[in-house]
Parts: sequence; C-alpha cells; structure tokens
Amino acid sequence: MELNSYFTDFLQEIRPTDKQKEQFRAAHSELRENLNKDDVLSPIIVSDFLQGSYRRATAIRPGQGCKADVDVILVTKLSDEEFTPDEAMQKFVPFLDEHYTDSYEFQSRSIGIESKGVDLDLVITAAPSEKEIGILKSDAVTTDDSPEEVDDWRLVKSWLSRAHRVGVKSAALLLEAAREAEWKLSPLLIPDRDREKWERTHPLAQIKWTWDKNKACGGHYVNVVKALKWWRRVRHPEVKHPKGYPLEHLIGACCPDGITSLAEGVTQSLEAIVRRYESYAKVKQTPSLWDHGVPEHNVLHRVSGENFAIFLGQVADAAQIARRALDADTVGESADAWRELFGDIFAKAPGDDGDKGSGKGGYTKRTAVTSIGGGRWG
Amino acid sequence: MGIVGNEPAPSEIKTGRRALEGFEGLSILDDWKWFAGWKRWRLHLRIRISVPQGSRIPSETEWHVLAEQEYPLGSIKFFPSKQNSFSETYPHQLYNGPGTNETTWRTGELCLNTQVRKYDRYEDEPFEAEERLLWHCRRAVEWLNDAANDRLAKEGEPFELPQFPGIDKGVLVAYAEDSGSLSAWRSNEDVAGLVELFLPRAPKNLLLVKKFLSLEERELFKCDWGSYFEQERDGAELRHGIWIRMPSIPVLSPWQAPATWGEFREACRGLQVNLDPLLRKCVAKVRDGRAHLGLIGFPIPEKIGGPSSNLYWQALALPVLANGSVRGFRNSEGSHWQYDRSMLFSDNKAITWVNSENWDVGQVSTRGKLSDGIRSSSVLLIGAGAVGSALAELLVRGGVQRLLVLDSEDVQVGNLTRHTLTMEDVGAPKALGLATRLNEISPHATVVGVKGEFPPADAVTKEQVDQCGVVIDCTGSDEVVRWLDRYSWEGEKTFFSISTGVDARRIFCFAQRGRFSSLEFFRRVRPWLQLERVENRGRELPREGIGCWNPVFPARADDVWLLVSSVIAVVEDLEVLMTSNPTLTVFERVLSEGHTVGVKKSTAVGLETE
Repeated sequence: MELNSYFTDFLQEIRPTDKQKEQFRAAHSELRENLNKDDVLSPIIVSDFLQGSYRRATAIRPGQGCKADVDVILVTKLSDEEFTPDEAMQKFVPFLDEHYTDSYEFQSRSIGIESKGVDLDLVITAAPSEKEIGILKSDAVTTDDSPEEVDDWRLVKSWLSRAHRVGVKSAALLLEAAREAEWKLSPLLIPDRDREKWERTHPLAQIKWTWDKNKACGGHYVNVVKALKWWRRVRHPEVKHPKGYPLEHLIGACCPDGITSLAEGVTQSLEAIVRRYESYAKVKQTPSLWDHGVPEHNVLHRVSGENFAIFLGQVADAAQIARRALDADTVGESADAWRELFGDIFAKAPGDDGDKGSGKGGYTKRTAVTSIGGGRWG
Repeated sequence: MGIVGNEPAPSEIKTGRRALEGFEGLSILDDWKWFAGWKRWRLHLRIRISVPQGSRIPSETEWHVLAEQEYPLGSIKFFPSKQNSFSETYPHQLYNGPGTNETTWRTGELCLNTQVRKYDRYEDEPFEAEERLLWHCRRAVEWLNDAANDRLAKEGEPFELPQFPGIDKGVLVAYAEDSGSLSAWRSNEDVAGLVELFLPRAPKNLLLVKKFLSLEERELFKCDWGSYFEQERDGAELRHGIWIRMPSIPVLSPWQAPATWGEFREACRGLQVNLDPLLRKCVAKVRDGRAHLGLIGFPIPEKIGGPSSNLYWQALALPVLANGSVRGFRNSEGSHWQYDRSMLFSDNKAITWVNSENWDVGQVSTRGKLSDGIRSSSVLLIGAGAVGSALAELLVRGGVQRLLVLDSEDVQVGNLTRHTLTMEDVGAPKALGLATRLNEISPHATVVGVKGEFPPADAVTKEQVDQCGVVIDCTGSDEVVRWLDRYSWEGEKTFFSISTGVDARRIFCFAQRGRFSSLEFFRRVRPWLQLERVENRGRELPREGIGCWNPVFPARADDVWLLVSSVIAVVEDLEVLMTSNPTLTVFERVLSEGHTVGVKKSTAVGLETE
C-alpha cells in the first residue's frame, strides 16, 4: 500500500527542521554578506549562490551529532589563465582570518568553514565568460528557494525569488518568466589544488535537471531521493560509496517519470537500479554516469567495482522489501515492510503490538477490552 | 479568523489521520492545518458513497473536520464544505447555513455521537489517538448513507427538534404543556391569539407563560405554577405577546427550521397554513412601539411516528412594529401592516428565535421521580428537624408538589450540622424556612409551612391538615405518636412515623394505612429500642449547652441522610401506601472498623433479610 499519510509524516521527520534550516540560512547568508562587504574581495566577486543538496531539496536532516554541509559557490573575476587554483584561493586568507579565525580549512576543491554550528563549503570559481555575468547575478541563479518551496523556477531573467515577489510588477514578471526561453549556461571552473588545475563543474545544470525531474514526477522525485538517502543512513551506515550526490544522481537516472506517489517512486527506483546495473555488478565493474552539463565527468568515478557490487546487492534486497510493502493488502503488513527499509522513524500501523492489523481499513478490531468508555451519565 | 499556520500537527493528530489510510471511499484533500482564529486543526476530506436515484445527497461530498490541539481529547466536528456538498439541513445535524466569509465550510455540523440515537447499537466512543478520528469518520459515512436513503429519522426513535438558527440563549420562555393540555387545545378553534407572560424576580432572564387568550382577549388557558412563582405572579412585571398554532412543525424539507420570514412562509404553505393573515391579525393587537414575543405552537410526539404527546411552543422576538405615523405610509391599520410586511417581515429578514422550554411537571422531572402514588399525594410533614428536612427535600425533588410542614421550633445554629437550611434561616421558624426552600426547588411545588405543634390549634391549619392524604411524623416524639392515634382524622390516610436510633445507627420506618395505631407502633419499635439500650449501656450522650437537660443525639449529616435516603423507597412504595397492615422497616448502617460501609434492611430484631 502507498500509505501516503504515513510517508507525509515520515518526510517531516527526515527533512531538516525549520530551526535547522534557519540555522543554515543564517550561516551561509552571513558568509555571503561578509564576502560582498569585504573591501579586498568584493571588487572581484561576480555572484554567489547556494548549490548542493540544500539547494536541490534533496538534503536529509543531519545525523545525531553531525553538522550539516552547506555548499556555497562564489563566482569570481579571477582569470583561470592568470591564477592557479591555489593562488586564487590564497586571496581569501586575510578575509578568512578576519571573520573565521581558526575555523576554516583549505581542502582540495573548496574552503571548509565552520560557522554557527554549520559546515560551510565555499567553492570559488574562476571568471566566467563576459556574456554570462549578467545571468549569474540574476534571481534565478542566486535564489535560496528550493523545489519544495516554489514550483515555477526557470533559468530566465524575469524569474523572481519568493522574497522579491512583492508589488504590482512582480505578477507581470512571473508571467514573463513562464514564457521566456531558458538560458544555456556554460560550466564554471572550480579549483583542484591537488592536481593544480581548474576543473569544470555545472551546479546550475544539476539544479535545473533536478527541478525539471521533480516536475515530471509530480513533486515526488526530491522526496524519493531523501527517502533513499535515509535508507542508506539507517540500514547501511558504514558504507562509504556511493552516497551523497553520486547516489542522488543514480536515483535520478533510474527513477521513472510520471510516478504518482512516493511509495511508488521508491519501489520503482530501486527496481530500476537493479535492472539496469545488475550486469555491471556481476562483473564487479562500476558503470559510468555522466554529470549534467559536464559530460566528461563520471559521477561514479570514486566508486570501486567491489563497492558497486556490494551496493547493488543492498539495492536488490531493498527493492524486494519495497515491492512487498507496496503490494501488501493490509496497512499492518505494508507499514511493517516500509519500516524494514526506513527504520523506526516510519510510523507503526495501529493495533495491538504483535498484531499485524487484519483490517483493510487500517482499523484493528479490539479483541480484548482495552478501556471501557461511554455509557456513563453524570 | 482563518489565519492558517504552517506548524506541523501534533503527533497524536497525525496518528489519527494515518489511521484513515485504506478507508474505502475516503480521501484526504488537504492535510491538517492550524486555524488560529478557530483554535482548531482542520482536515479537508472527501467521502464517496453510492446513493439511490433522486437522492439530494451527492455521491461525493467534501467535509472539513475540526479537531482540537488536545486530540484525542476535545471536540471533533464534521462540517460540510461550501463546495461539493449539500445545502439542506437533515435530522441529526445542526442548522446548515452558508456560514461566514472566513470559513470554507457551512454551519451544518453533524451530530455523530448522540448516545440516544444509536442506543440499541451503542458503541462506546473510543478515546485513543488512532481510533477516535476513524470512529467519527465511520459515523459520518453511516450518517451520509442514512441521509441518502432517508433513514435518519427512524420510527420509534426519540423525536428531536431541528435547531432553530440564531437562537438567542440569553432569554428563556417557559410554559407548561402536556397531553392533557394538548387535548384541550385540540378542542379549541382558535389558531392565533394573545399570550400573557410574567417575569419572576429570579431566575433572571426567565419569562413564564401566564395565560393564553383569544384575539378578542377571551381567556383560553391558564398555566399553573408552584408557590415559588405564584407568590410573585400577581405583582410581577407582565409582558404581552402573540401566539400562532400550526398543525405540525414548520420545517423546510428535510429538517430545516426556518431562518427567515420567507422560509417560514414557505414552511407554513407546506402545512396549508397561510401565515400572513394570521400574523396580521395578531400584530394589530400589539402595535404599541414596544418589543413583543411571539409563540409558535405545534404538536410534537415523544417518538418519531408516534402520536403527538404535547404542544411545543417555539418563541421568537417580534420586531418593534410600526405605529403612529410612519414616513410614506398613512396612519391606519392597513398601512401599518403594509409597512410591517414589506420592511419587518419581508422574505429575506432573519427571524430572531428565542429559547423556550416546556416546564411541565412530566418534563422537568424526567431525571428522577418518585412513584406516582406519592407524587400525587398531598403530604403532611410533622417535624422539620434533621430527618424531616432531609425527607422533605427528597420528596419535593422527587416530584411531590403539595406539602404542609408543621414544626414548632426555630432554627438554631447547632441544627445546621445536619439540616438542609442555612445561616439565613437561623432564628426563624423551621417550618417556614423549609417551605420557602422547598418551593425554590421546583417550579410546581406548593409547600406551606406552619409554625406550630401537632395537633394543630387553629381552624385554618386543621383544615389544611385534613386535606392531606399522607401523614409523615418525623419528630421522634412519643407524645406525637400518641396524638396521631387519638386525633380524629377526616377520611383515610396513610401514616408514616420515621425516626432514627442512637447515633443514627438505625432508622425506624413505621407505616400504616387507614388509622394510626400507637399500640402497633410501640409493639414493633420497642424491641429495637431495647436492643439499642443494651448496645449503648454506659455511654453518656452529649448535651447541648450548659444547663440543658435534653441529650442531643450525636449523628452526622452523612449518617442521617444515608438512612433517610434508604427510607424513601418505603415511602413511595405503592403497596405500603395502600395496605392496612402495619409494618416496620428498619435500615441499619453496616460498620467496619468504625466506618459506614453500607446499609442493610432488617425486619426483625437481630435478624437480617438482605
């Protein structure tokens, strides 16, 4: 059974809480504000925007004792021909020392900053082409709104973020936004200090792809990703790869369009992954999945054949459980199976403990009198 | 009012909603949302059922369910949506008006947990989170099926009135009608007239019907009330109103009380009653610039499909009618009526219904009454002390209307530990204080108190005593017992002599019809007194006040009232009331470690029955 209301409640428990979202927002807004106010840095900044799972609404609540990872992209005017990745990143040291003393760390591709209980990942890019600068400053790019909050996002000039939808003009602009042709942006260049070169990446393409997919799936896609990420965390916490974006990408590649419920999406995605990659797993080979907007990148390049085979075995098991849950006739059986996948956060069916819940209507007839009520007049 | 918040619902409310998963025909259109103005959580549902041809209930209806933050406790209400539902009012539903602009639902809340309605198939309402909402939804589906198949008002079920919309609960109009008066009305030809009401000093905001008159001001019927109201009646403030009688309850199909004058006209047309001419004749009589009440009367049965049991009067507040010169209208009856009809009684003007209740004896005592035998008697109570006051209270609350209280003493503060009177009465005669209090208990009681001894000294009291059918002695005095024997009574009476033993451990209830034989009384009571003497040997009973010789019997109110309550069953027993064999019934408190744990009945000294 689809148990839509059970999934609604489950999602509420696994997505970041309002308080957490506020926390993230405070942290990354402050960083972006500070950057834009810095005398040295602001002249070289083109734009800043969120990327990553928070932007795409595919993030689940940080685990116990863990901090959230929020990714911020800072588009600069630094030419990739003039500056090496390391040189470009070094330009930020004075700023970091001033605002985030002792709480930042240089990584290969980004600067990790710890602020307000949140792990911010600051990725700086080299200068984009001149003609794209305007677009990169637009609301459509810089907005914090995610697919869960707005359903009309398009990469166009007249699109407005929710915060800017005030006044008479906004209605007209939004109409425009629905009709304009979308931009085709080029990939951005981000640093790889280890390999001492600028690498191509296309966060906006990933974001756009997610929006479009979510729309094609009736708004269920981002929830399928969240649910399956949760499954991984609860049932296979020790596993390293694939997880995070590679896992999301895999799900995206396999989740069919036109799903009508979260339960259906979870089941069909798992089954599709198995069908498509069974043969790879058999020979312990990792398939190649090309990143959106950067076709030369294999999203799964970090996953060894060995690990992929293990992963596929886990997916196959999960797919069977999901199918059992989806096809179950009674609420009790269905909920129990979903709980096998998702753990105790997924609600139990009503009825006495140990009773599988015989009724189709989700109501267990009381066999023993649990409490006597009614029939009393004061 | 309708501020909708984004907070997540409490987990118990979510549990309630999850339990609806798999409910055939029920789909959730919008999940729980907090409506701050209503302080409720709102769930928007659709229910699909199969309906017969021509049913006014659509097969798919939308509902708004309101639950409280404290779910599974608190109220759960089902309201029909403004769209995709129905606009009629059905039985077991509140008036189904269009509601306000601030809500998306109509006002016709379903009555889903009336215990009376499904008494024979009574199913306890569960209060667990996963069951309560589901239970209500199932009842709602049952209600819909019954409504679609015209099964809501079943023959044999108690008759229920529809809700009169917008009723003003600040005022109450009370009248007294029973099956007897219904017959009287039926043999009367008047269908409209005037009514006189009066305002008692207390309770506040109460109007009582005094009498019904014809249009020509001929008195037709009088409402009799007990002493509490009778005392005030002639001096009380009067109000005049109109009354109109209908052959049956005026409703719009299936069960909607009229909300406007237009709807009222339509409902009357359905009864072949032409409202306007009647209204015109009535209002012509109360055209004095003041506000008046109207009473609409119609016979109602006790059970659906049963014979009519009494006339029901539904009150309404008439608007102040035109009188004198009104702009644009000539100063004549015809013009005044034209004005009223077009301005005050126009089709779309809402009717201001007013709360009304039938305070007939049969209606007010449904919660507990004594047997007909004792209730219809007129009782003489001799002795208004601890036993007498408690007994009188139970008798009057149980429906005895006519009581004569005879006691020679005044209330003293020491009495109050086990008397029903209060500080207000200290220093005044017990009989009078008690009579006043008893009259305040019932709208029909006519209790008279006389300060004096038995036998009565003056002729007036003697006459009152002679009219009593039941005599109850609560003095505990041997002398009175002898007087009961010697007194020359008029006619046959039923006698009781009731008194407690030491510590109010036992209560002795002697009964005899015909005449009172003190010999029979003492024969039966003495063995008990002997027993008590043995039980209490060596005890010194406390005295009241220094220098007073009379021992006070030590007993608390709970002891006395427990025993008096047990004795009532004997007093109302018809067999006892009618039998000439003298009987003594003794009730005794059962003690365990010094505490009362029960009451048992004994008929012979030392022997127990049950």
